[in-house]
Formats: sequence, C-alpha cells, structure tokens
Amino acid sequence: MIEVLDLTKVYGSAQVVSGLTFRAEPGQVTGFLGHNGAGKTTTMRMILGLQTPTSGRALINGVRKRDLRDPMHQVGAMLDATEVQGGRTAFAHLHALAYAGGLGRRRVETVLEEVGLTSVAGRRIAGFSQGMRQRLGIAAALLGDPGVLILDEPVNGLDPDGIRWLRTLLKSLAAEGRTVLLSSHLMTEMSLTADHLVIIGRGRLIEDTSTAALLARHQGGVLVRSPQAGRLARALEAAGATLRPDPEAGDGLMVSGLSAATIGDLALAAGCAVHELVTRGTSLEEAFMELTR
Amino acid sequence: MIDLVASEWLKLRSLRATSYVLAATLSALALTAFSAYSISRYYDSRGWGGEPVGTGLSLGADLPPVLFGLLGVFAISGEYATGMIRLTLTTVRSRWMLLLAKAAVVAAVAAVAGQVLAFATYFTAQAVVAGRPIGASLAEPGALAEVLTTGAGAAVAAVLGLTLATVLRSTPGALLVLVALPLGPLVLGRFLPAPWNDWIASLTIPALARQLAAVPDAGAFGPATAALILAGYGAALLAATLAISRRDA
Repeated sequence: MIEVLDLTKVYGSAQVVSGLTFRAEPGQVTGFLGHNGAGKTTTMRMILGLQTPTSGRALINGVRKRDLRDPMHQVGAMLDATEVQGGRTAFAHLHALAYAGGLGRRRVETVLEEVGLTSVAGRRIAGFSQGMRQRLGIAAALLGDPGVLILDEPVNGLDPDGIRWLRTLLKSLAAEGRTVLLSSHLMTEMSLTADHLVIIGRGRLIEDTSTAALLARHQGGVLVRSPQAGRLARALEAAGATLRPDPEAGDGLMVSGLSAATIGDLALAAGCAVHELVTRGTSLEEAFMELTR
Repeated sequence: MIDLVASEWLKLRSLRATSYVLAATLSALALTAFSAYSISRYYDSRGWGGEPVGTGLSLGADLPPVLFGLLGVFAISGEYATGMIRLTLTTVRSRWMLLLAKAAVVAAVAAVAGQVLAFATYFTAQAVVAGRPIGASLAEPGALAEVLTTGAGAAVAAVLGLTLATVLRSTPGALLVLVALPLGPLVLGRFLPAPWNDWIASLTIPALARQLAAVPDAGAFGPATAALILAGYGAALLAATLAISRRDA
C-alpha cells in the first residue's frame, strides 16, 4: 500500500506538489495521471525517498521509504529507463542491483526471462532500443519480488505488442495482491490498465476515483440536429435530458440521459424534423482534457 | 553492508573506465624508466651530480595519485551523469552506507593496484640503474617503507576522488579539482616565503607518503603529522556522506 498524506514540494518559488493526498491500494493497478509537469514524477520520487517533501508524508506499507528494512523486497521502481550506464551488459547491470538486495544470478535470470531479454542479456545496454531499456527497467523493478511497484511512464517507447504485454503483466501482478502505481499522460491507455485513477493538475488532486465510475460519468451522448432546435430542446429537457452545445461547434445539441430512439420518438411527438441523430462516445482523452483544464 | 560491497565491486569491475585507468597507471613505469635512464647516462658520462635515482618512486610520483583519484571519481560520477544514482538509491537502505561501500571498494582496489605499481616502479628503476651506486636497496633505511606508503597513498587518492565526485556531482568538476589540487602546492611552493613554501609543498599525497616513510628530506612534516594529514584527506569522505544523505536525488 502507498499512502500520500498532504504532500507538498516547493522548489524556490515554484510549488510543484500542493497538499496532495491519495492512496494506492494493494490488489489493484492505480493509474497516476497528469499532464507533463503536473508533479507526477516529483510525487513518485518523494514516495521513493529520493526527494524530501517540504511538508506532508509519503508512506510505503505504513512507513517512509528510508525506514524500510529491506527496501528491494518491499518496493520496486522504474523512474526513467534511460537512466542507466550504457557501458554495462544488461546482466551485469541487474546483477549489481541484485547483490545490493542479497540476491544472486538465478533471480537475475528469472527477471530477464520474465521481461523477454534473455537473448540479449550479454549485450551492452548502450546498444538497446528505448523499448528494450523499458523492459530492462521493469526487470530491475521486479528483482526483489516487491509487494509495491512504482513505475513512471512505463509505456513510453514500447511497441503495441510491448504495451499489451505490460498491461497483462501489471494486471497479473496486482491480482497477486501487489500495489501497482503507474503514471502516464495517456488517458486511454490508462483506462485499459488501471482499476483506479488519481488525476492531478499543477500539483493538486483533481480526481480520485475508480476507472469504472469515471467512465460512467463521462459517457458520451447523442448528437441531434434539427431546424426546430429550440422546440426540440424544450421537449427533451421536459423528458429529463441534459443538454450541452455541439462539441464540434455546429448547430446540433449534445444530449445525455436519453437514447437515440427515445430522442427520435420525442422529436416526432413534438413535430420537429430531425436532420441528424448520432450516438457519440466521448473519448476519455477529452474527459481528461476537460478535467485538467 | 557486505551485499553493498559485492554490488559496488561488480559495478566497478563492469565499468570499462576502470581498466583504462588501471592501464594508464603503467605510464608511471615508463616515466620512471625514462628518468632513471637519463640519470644513469649522466652518471656514466660525468659521475656524481644532481639527484640520485634512489628508490625511483619520486621520479613519476605525481601521476598515480591523479589516476587513482580518477578511479574514485568514476565509481560514482557515471551514476550521477546518467541518473542511475536514483535507481541505486531506491534499492539501498541508507545512502551513507552506499557511499561507504563504494569507498571500501575503490580504496581496496587502489591499495592493491597502488602497491603492485609501487613495487613495479621500484624494481623498474633498479633494473635501469643496473648496479650503479645511484639506486637504493630495500634494506636501506626508509626504502621499503617508502614503497609501502606509496601504495597506501593510492588508496587515499581514490577515496578523495570519490569524495570530490559525490560532493560536486559532476564528472568534469571532479576531474578539474583532482588535477588542480596537487598543482596548487607545486606552484605555491615556488613563490611562498619559507617556511610556508616547504609546508605547502609537503601537502601533496606523494610528498606525504614519503614523509610517512620518514624518507630523509622528504618534506616539512614527521611521520605522525603526515599520517594525520593523509587521514584528514580520507576523512573528507564524511562531508560527502552528509552531502549524499541530505540532498534530493
């Protein structure tokens, strides 16, 4: 479990994280969303004890990172997969990290197998593609078989196969009862992977909700266009619909709360001509942009 | 702690810079051989005059501390330059223990390599001198001690390099200080009035190693003071542990 309690980080005059509070529970994937510069990385670094909070606390399994007795076995992290020394082989890189946690070659071989890098284990990291580095970073996070995983933008640089592989891996890790916190600025990808979403903007909490609830709330609606728009609008509102202006800035109405069939029937009853009647799913990406505006 | 030492040993071993730096220390042998050869030729043609070769250790002495210092620099500067230090720090319990493990590894490597180099330098010089009365036998007072303390000086230099790189968090910065630091006493020693010039010139690591071995005319300080100053260079590591423990990574 990860608990962030009223966490604040100030650099000079810039408040990067402001009074942020949320929890990432075991057994589920928690998505940590925000635009670039929203404070995701700073928050993750504070959770991992790399940066000291100006105020507030960040706890892993109830204690601060620095108070963990065997950190590698409790928390695994991938912050930036490009942050490795290219001169080493993938195996030597992981082996050195493994030693620090009292682990040996066998564990290194296991994680290399798990991320699909066994065949390139003896090659120098300098020649790795971004996707391979990403897999290596995930291997390093998994080394100590930790109960808490913190991954900063793990999808970056992965090809579609890699993204699907990572999604399956993270879900299975969560299903084993682990806490998985991953950050991203890609809402759509996140809605497929995360069970719970924490959305921040300019260092502040915007949403802390289950993915399902957010999806339900930001469902699309039905776009209807009619030459008698005013009359139709009154009829629809009388039937309990919520109206919004046409998101594409045309002369249509965006209706939520009624199905396309009901809207058609109501239009007929009110004597309004209907020129267009389309069901639209709002993209989650739009919802995200709206929330973080 | 043993786990951390094993980890840092593997890191240092798997870094190509390590073998380059150790190979570069052989340049001190070449320098010694060349100097000993010149002095021998002078002796052959004109007899006594100038400094004798002695143990030969002082001929190329300024080079090894800089190179072993580099070894210490590279033990952490690459992690700062790439950002890998963050990954490393998430895996360890305490930052000062990490730095101590790094210090133990570079000190051990430099002590062994420095000792081998010191003996190799001594025997190279004596081989070039080839029995002329300008060399030094290990039985002479201070000779064996000088070889041993020169090796120990390498360990101090390596820890100093690690300290600089940790405090400065910059490879070029650490290199600059490492090269400029021994130059300072050399230059100042020429211009300052006595006894300041003597004191300042006695502060470099090779000079301290000779004073520690009680080599005659090696500098202003006795063995005890020299040992204290060398220990002081090593103790600067404390400043580095404070820096790494307090700063955001």
